[in-house]
Amino acid sequence: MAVSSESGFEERADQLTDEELQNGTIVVDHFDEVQRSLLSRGLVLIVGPRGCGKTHMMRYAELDCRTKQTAPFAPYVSFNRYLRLEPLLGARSDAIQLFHGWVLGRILVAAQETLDHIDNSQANLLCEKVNIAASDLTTYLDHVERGIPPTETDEQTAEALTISGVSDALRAAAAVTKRKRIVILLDDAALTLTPEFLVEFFDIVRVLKASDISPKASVYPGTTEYGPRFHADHEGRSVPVWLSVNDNNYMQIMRDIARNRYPEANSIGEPEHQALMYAAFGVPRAYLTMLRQWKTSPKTTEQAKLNRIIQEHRDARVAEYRSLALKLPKLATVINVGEELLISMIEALRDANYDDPRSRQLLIAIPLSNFVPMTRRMVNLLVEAGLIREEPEISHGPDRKYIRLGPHVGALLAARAFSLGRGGGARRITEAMARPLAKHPVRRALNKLVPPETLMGLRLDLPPCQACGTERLSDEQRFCHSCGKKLLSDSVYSRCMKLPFADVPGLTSRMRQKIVEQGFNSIGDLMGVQDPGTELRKIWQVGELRSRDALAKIDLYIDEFLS
Amino acid sequence: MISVDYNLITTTQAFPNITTQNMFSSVAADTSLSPVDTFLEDTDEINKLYLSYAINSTDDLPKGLGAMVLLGYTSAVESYFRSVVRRLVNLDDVAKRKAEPMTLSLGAALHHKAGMMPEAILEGYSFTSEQNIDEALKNVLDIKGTKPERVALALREYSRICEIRHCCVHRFGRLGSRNAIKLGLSDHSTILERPFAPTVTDLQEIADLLRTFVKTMNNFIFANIISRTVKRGGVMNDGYSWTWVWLWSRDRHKFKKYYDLFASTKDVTPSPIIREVYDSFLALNGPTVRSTK
Repeated sequence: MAVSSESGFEERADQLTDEELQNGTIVVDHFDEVQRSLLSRGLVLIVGPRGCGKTHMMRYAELDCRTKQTAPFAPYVSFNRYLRLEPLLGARSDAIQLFHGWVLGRILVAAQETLDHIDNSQANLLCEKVNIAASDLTTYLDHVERGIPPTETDEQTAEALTISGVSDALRAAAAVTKRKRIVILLDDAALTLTPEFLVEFFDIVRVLKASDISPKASVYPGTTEYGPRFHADHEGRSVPVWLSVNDNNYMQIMRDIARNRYPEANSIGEPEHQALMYAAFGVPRAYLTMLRQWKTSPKTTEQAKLNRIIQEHRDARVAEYRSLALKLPKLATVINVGEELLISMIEALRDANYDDPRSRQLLIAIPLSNFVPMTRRMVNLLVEAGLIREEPEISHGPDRKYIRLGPHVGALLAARAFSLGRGGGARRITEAMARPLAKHPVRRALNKLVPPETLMGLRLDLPPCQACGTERLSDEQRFCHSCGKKLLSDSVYSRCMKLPFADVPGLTSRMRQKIVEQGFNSIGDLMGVQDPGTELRKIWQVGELRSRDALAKIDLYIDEFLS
Repeated sequence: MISVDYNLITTTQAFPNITTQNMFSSVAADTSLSPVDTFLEDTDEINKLYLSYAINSTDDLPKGLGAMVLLGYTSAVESYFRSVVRRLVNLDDVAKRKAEPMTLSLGAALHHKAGMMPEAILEGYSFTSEQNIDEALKNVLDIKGTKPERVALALREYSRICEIRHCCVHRFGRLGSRNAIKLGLSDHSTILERPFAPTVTDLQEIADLLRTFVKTMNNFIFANIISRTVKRGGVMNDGYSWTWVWLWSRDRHKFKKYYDLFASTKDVTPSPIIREVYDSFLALNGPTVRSTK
């Protein structure tokens, strides 16, 4: 969640200004390597959970390339609004074509922006190259993102946007700026909630790739399926951007981030500061948020403050993970059992750390053979949410492969996995984290971590047939086997639109009450009208500023929900 | 002594006495349903047929059932087109005029009810390829010109199913070379002469494709026909003897006829109610038209 304090401090890279980005980015080996792979030739997937710095790295790469004549032409595009197109899937037979046009259109717009920064005499160059009017493109993107039925012009625009046309337009832009090759930075490309779009997206990425065009896409860990025609290992390589707490430079890198982005951090006591760095679990955004909480939280003992901040951080991460069930109700059971798994993994690690106080134990190894697709998906959801970090598999001989999982260190600290008893928390944490890593992970069978009957009960919570009420047989089923009627797939977007205003953070209680009094009970009621701003200004004492502020908050909430 | 007759290389028997007239239901089909609803009801039945094999969570269908299901589905698609065309010829002035010069078989003229006669002029059309549908739309309904991209896309998708249909009708489901060429030789050359053996999941996708195709065409034909009835720039469309008054109370009767022909009540998401459809028609075509771009 984007929150900026009085000093204008901002944790989210997509909300930073260019200057803040350029001066506030640390350059050390780990991030250097990611930057190198972002600018290298070939397709690269940048893998990491939310907040680990993917957006930051990509935007930095784009800025860096603008000024360096020898660097590639590198537009930055974000696809974080993809779920706004989701309703098309259930309404239009050409939904995939409209999405296709949207992706290519977004790339064109971004490339034009980058071009304008380098050479502002080339307005509309890219649109001209694909023979569409810049205004038509803007209208098209606006229409599909806002769910307004596409007009005939829109359909023609979508049709005119072809991969080869866009590639040639990019080449023309690179030629004008005298750049030898092109890098396309595709951010928020983990379209995990709409597999139909994900498949199409990576198909576009695959075809865009050329000797002089290198697409780079940022994705979440845990996503392994990119569709039948895209094989991640074959098409390119994956580069993890998620920093490991076991990295030798971990403390140094985190410290550098704080120095650049939040210099006040110096005033925090060293043990507490270190504890926060570990609790952040390699996610700079989490670290910066906790630092800011440290400065703003009321005066109590350092110990109590530290415990509270770490616990709150853990709770927020778990809440974010649980919120996935709100977006995809069919995963509710899988998500609940996943949380059970996380808790028992933490308990197992706590026991191991108490048993052997000379080393630190952060990893659980579970035999690969224990997993079936459903349990694997459960683990992937935890990985995607950044609650578990998956380390490479290890093998103890044929058929004895283990997957290694490291639970969130913040959650381990909140559960006192390293320090028994009261007092001296921060110091004990730093001492424990300074111990050598345990030689072997804790080995556990999956059914020892989660009761076998719970594992047996793992299933997707699918809604019954809306016509006759018969339970569905599987997730892939498209028609009811009892009455033969079409089964409606449910939409994340429409669920978001049904949410009440009470869920939108930041709205004043008066504003909330007045919006409801105007007859808007859900977000969808308001966003569905021609001009929501006009409706809001009908409220007494709400003018231009207040309506814009309220709409921005609602918009941000929708974006958060749909990302 | 020769005990074998070379004329009887395979054994035969007497023909069973078949009375084809008894094989068709004596109860007439429900004509109050719109063509798209009939299509949905018919195909709901087909869905039940193959989905019963999914209950035991095995994806294996009995050999040949896949082809049967596909034939059933494409037959439902054809039936949809026949029904829409027939009812439009009865309802729409322009379509009626266009169809008038067409030849009708004497048998149909003698025995059909008047309302069913247009069905007989379609007996020469097959609706099993993009070209066939194009021709019927143009020659009988007078729908011409370039089609919107989404309709062109729907027709392209349908063409692929038609290729498989061709194999199922003529070659017991084995992939023929001409069909393989149409489907794309690069992906299909290695499976020439292989039988069509879809899984339950494949069949559901084909079913979804054909339903989306029919609904896309249904939307297209409705929008096309209804908007050509509008008087534009003060000029009455050739062939219509009436025009819209743009008052619900006066237009309702006429509008309902068109609406009923294309709307669905059987779909899981039924069509919007008639008044909403009329209001949107009025907003975009009525006298005080705002710029609709």
